[in-house]
Amino acid sequence: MEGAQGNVPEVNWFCTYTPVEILEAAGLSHRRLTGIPEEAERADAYLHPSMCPYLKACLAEGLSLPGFRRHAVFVNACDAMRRLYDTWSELFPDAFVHLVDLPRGNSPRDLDILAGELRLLSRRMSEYFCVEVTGEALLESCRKREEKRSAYLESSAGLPASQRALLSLDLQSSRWEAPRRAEERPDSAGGVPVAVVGNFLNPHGLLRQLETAGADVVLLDICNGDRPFLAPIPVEATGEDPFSQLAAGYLKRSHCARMQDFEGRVGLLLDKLEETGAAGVIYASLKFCDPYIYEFPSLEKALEARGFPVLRLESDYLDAHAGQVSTRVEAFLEMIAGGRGWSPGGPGRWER
Amino acid sequence: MRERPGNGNSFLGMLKERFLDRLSPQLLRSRLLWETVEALSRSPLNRTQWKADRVSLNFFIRQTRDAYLGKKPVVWCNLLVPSELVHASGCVPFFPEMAAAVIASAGLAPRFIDRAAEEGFSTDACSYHRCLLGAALEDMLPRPHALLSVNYPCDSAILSFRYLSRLYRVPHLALEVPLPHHPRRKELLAEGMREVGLSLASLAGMGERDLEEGLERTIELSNQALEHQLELERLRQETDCLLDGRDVMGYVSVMVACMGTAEGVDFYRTLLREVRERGTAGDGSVRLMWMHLKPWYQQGIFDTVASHGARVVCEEYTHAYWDKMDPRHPFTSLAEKTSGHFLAGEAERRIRHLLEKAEAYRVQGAIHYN
Ligand code: SF4
Ligand code: SF4
Repeated sequence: MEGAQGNVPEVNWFCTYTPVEILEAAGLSHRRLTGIPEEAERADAYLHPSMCPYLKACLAEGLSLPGFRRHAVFVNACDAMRRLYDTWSELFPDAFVHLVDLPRGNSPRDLDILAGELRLLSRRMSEYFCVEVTGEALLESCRKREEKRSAYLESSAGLPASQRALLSLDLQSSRWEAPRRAEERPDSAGGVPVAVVGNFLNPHGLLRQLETAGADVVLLDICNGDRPFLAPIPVEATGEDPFSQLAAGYLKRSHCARMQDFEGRVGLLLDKLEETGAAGVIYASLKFCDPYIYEFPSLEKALEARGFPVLRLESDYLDAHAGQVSTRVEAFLEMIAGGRGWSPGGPGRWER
Repeated sequence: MRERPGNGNSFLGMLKERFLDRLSPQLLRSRLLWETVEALSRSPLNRTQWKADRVSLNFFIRQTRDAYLGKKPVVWCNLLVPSELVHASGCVPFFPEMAAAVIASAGLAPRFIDRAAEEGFSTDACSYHRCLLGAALEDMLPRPHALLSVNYPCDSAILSFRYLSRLYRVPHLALEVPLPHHPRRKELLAEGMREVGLSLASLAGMGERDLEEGLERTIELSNQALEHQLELERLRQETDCLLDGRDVMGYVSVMVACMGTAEGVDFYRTLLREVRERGTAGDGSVRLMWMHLKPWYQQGIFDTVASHGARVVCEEYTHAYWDKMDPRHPFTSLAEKTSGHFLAGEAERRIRHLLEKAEAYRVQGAIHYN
């Protein structure tokens, strides 16, 4: 399982529905790719320009990786990700490149589909990397994942959004050792408390712009933020097949816009908004992401009906044009503050 | 440039002339409108390209009328839903993506696309879907009793159906086609087909036995249509027949919606006979393949192609991609049909399909349009 120069292979992945527990149980190093947004245009030679900028940035990064670090596990999460899988397989024929299917629902049949997929991934990886994925190793990696989840919940409290996103990414990958930013924790309280809901956002781009504009992001419901850590994925030594338990966990956890259960997602989100004291929602997503494009009108209505104002932002992932965004965010925050008797620089946090 | 025997859009033109100014949700649900539409379709002024076009036109008028007038439960479907299942369940299938194409042909898409934008749908979304969402928001489409989607060829249908199921407050039944590598792919999909079939049948007040009988009938009819369709494909591959790709592209609607009906059989039988009768072009045109969708409103590109001595002889979406089905095992057969579609899974399947067709149709070049 060593690369040509004795390098340990690393598996890249892209979507938080990737069953990283299986990669860890196989003893593989893995990393959620963040891509190189500055070089996303390099991907235009292979992918349509009107495609998810995150995935394009990932392909740009893939092109510059050495061979032993080009292995990749994709999830059939959206059309764009399936197309990146196609391209990756074509460009890097010697790498381990696998597509895991992901049903949208939570029925027994959906569970069968996903459990079958997880077993298949495990088998294909075992064959390719000459490793074994045992039931015990899988239970152990699931236990470790829960540890990381607790670590995130503990360490992320009070962190500004950009740092929370970085912490989330750190903990999602296998390289993580300890919460590296725990000591550099500026108090972000004092801004207008808002929730950010979206897909994958650039910690150094849009999230930082929100902070600068005066937002105190009390809930970061994005897939490189709080969302992957909100709910446990319980897998225990109960005698039940661990792959089925893992599949059930993934299909039941807090979902993104891609999954079918909109009502469940809204219900959870509203609970979280209440719990965190968010006074408004910034719905920020990467351009060309269909799940979020189609979800927005319904979610906006549901949130506004419960008294949460909503601001819609779109990101090209590079987020070089900060000015326009900041103006809109500031106006939104002022609107919230004005309507609720809160003022910037006032004492302590805003209270509903 | 060869003379085209009729104008495919002439019927739509007649309708526009009479009704466009008064188009409203009420008008679309009035009996009088549908009686007029049926009378116009029979009028000698309605010249069709091929006799078979009249068969499909009558079929679509009747189905759409039934859907608007609520004669049967209406099930909205995306393109990979096997129509045999819906016809067998006593419901009327309505394919809103095809309706969006008709809307676009009539030049009405911008109005509905604007309506979707007002609702908050980003301009980055597929224009077909924005058009149908806008039309739904203006209550211009037949109201569904259920929505049925398959998770291919794209995410847009599932996602817009999810929105529409809340707009209309009706269930969204979603069929998941597992990836080709899944060991239980067909079995799981067949189970899903069965479950969905029973739900649809119950909307029409039918039971399991009725559904099974319905499926035996629709699959039998689908097989008959398939035979004629395959024969037509052979003819197009082997000869320089007069059937032009720009027209055949519109027949995707027949292949999607008429399978499992007597009209589906009649359409392909009539078309095959007529294509045989009309003989070959014999003009040595360059043979082209057309990939993906056709432009519905501005079709000048086809004249440009013709002016360069070329013609479209093969299109990506109009070929039978399934084998004869077994009426004794309807759900497995339908699962095989749907999961066998070249767009259900990785791009490699689509590429293989296109290469096979390019070879079989002896094409000398290809155009990809999107
Ligand atoms: S938004 Fe959902 S489906 Fe998309 S990449 Fe993130 S976790 Fe995956
Ligand atoms: S951000 Fe959206 S388009 Fe991009 S990979 Fe995630 S779900 Fe797909």
